[in-house]
Amino acid sequence: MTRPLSQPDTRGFFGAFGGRFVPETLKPALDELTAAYAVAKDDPGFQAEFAEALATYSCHPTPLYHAERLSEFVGAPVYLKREDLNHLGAHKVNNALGQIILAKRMGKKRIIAETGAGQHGVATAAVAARFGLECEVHMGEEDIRRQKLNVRRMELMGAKVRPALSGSRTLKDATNEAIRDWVANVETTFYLIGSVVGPHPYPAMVRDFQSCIGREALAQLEARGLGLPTYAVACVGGGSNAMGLFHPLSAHPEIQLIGIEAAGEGVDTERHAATLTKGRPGVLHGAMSYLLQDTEGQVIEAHSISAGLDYPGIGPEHAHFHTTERARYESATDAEALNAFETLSRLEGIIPAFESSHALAWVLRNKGKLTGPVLLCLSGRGDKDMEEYLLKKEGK
Amino acid sequence: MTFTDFVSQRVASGRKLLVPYLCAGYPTPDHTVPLLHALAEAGADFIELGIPFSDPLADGPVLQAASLVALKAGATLDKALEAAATFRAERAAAGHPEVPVALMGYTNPFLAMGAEALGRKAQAAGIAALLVPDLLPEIWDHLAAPGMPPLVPFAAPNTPEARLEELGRIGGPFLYAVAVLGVTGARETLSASVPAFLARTKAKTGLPVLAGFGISRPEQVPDLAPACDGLIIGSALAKALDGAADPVQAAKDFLIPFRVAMDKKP
Repeated sequence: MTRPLSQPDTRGFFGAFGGRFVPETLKPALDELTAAYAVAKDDPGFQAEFAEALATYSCHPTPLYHAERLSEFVGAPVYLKREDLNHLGAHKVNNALGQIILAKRMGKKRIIAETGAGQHGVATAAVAARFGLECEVHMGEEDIRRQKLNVRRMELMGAKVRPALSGSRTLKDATNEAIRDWVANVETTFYLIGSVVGPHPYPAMVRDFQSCIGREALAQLEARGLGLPTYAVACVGGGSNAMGLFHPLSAHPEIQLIGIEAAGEGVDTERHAATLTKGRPGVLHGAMSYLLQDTEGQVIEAHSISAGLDYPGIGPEHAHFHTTERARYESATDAEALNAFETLSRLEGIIPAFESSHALAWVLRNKGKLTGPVLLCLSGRGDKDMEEYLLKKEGK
Repeated sequence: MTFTDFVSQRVASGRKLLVPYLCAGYPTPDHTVPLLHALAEAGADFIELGIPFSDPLADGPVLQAASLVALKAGATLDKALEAAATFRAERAAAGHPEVPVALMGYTNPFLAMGAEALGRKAQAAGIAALLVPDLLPEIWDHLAAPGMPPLVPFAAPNTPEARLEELGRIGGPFLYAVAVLGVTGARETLSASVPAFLARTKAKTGLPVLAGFGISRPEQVPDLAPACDGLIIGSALAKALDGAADPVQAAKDFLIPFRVAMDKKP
């Protein structure tokens, strides 16, 4: 049984969430982008160019891997969607390719992006180099200090990294700076957002560009005669790999969709990033969604060992899936994620990103209780996290 | 008299409106009421009282910093509403004419209070209007509630003419014309195309048009004032208050030259 996939309404809302909470200055740019994307979406030429780039610049379809030893360990078949094998080591490149092909069609000359740990910044710098467009990446000054290697990678590929000096000098502030940059340069500049967040049409557009994850996985399961999984699991920060997995699967009501947020040091401490678990509806970065905020509506800093989940907001479609109970959102702590990071490395010889480790932690927590096959999005590889891992593990 | 009538009457009388933007709670919450009085005495037609927010995405460095200072000093929306009510009552008790106060702030702190509570409290405090730079008119329903003051539409130099006509139909006590593509903050000079943008906005919307963003010096007034109905000044005022030994005196000294420049007949 299938049902229609959810789409935003004409004002860009998924139920109560999403929309465009932006200054009037950005309205013409968002209208232009919405119109350009609507044309591109139905243009076989655009879709062919995007598919070719996914296949040859990255390596789609990424493999669906039956993790036999992990399956044996948890007592249920676990299939890993190997998004960690993408060019640059994470799913981020899927969306970056889709948006930059669109930017090029729209005649934009300058690309800007925000980045936290640098994964989306690196993906954007790479595709900007590939398509010959000028690229500036806004990154919090604090993150620049912590992620020197990614800064150098971006610079090597020709991007300019602009330090965000406001607020806590991390992803939230880098996003504010990118929006300010866009407002000031709106006529020449394309803002390449890295997750299913921001004003309409970004959440739906980024989701579409990431939906290759779920579509490929369904086809790969079917090709092997495995049918539908009982569970589909993914980590959620802004939520792009999760929505890329969930959205195509959401047409099948029998699949349980499970998103795992970062509980940091615990959801009952002040140091976590569990937006749906502990937040309330509110507006940040152009959209209504769930938000970590105080009683006055001031945004609270998130915390997670995984820089990619360290964000006080979440994509509006996830908020919609949460309130309509189409998906279930749980959380995993830093400690659980570290354990999962080690477990997958030892059982399968695959070092997962800290982000993806949160999704794996859910599977490990449910060892012996799983009633059917698990499809898990392994969104990125963990090489980037080795330094942090050693620091945590050995105090080095 | 409604605020809409108040603005139209001033416009009809040929007076250019001078509207300072004061970040509530800056430099401290105790300064807000005395600063409102100082700005009124220095010739403000009405005052925009800004609600600080942790993520002010339409603001440049000066108002970002003011916002953070105010939040650290304990500024809240409730305190801003109380300050506006106190200011109003004190002016009335002294027999001075009313100088209306409009609230300007981002969507989230208003939603956190809740539209119902905001409408009730704003009405009780006599708030004249609400300016929400990240709430397009299409979604004003998010702040619809009994007692809610009228919302104000914005336009920018890249707003298409058809949209200007639409904003005119949507209406409001006035239209806030954002004079630059970019964030708030004093500019030494504004683009030569600003007066034409203001004139176009006025003609296409039919609304009183007040210009803001980037206005920093009284010397800019002769170029801008004839093309619109008034000027809004924010970052430059915050800069003048920054580190001032006597913020109240600094506010008066800052605003009076603008009043003089705006009252000068061409």
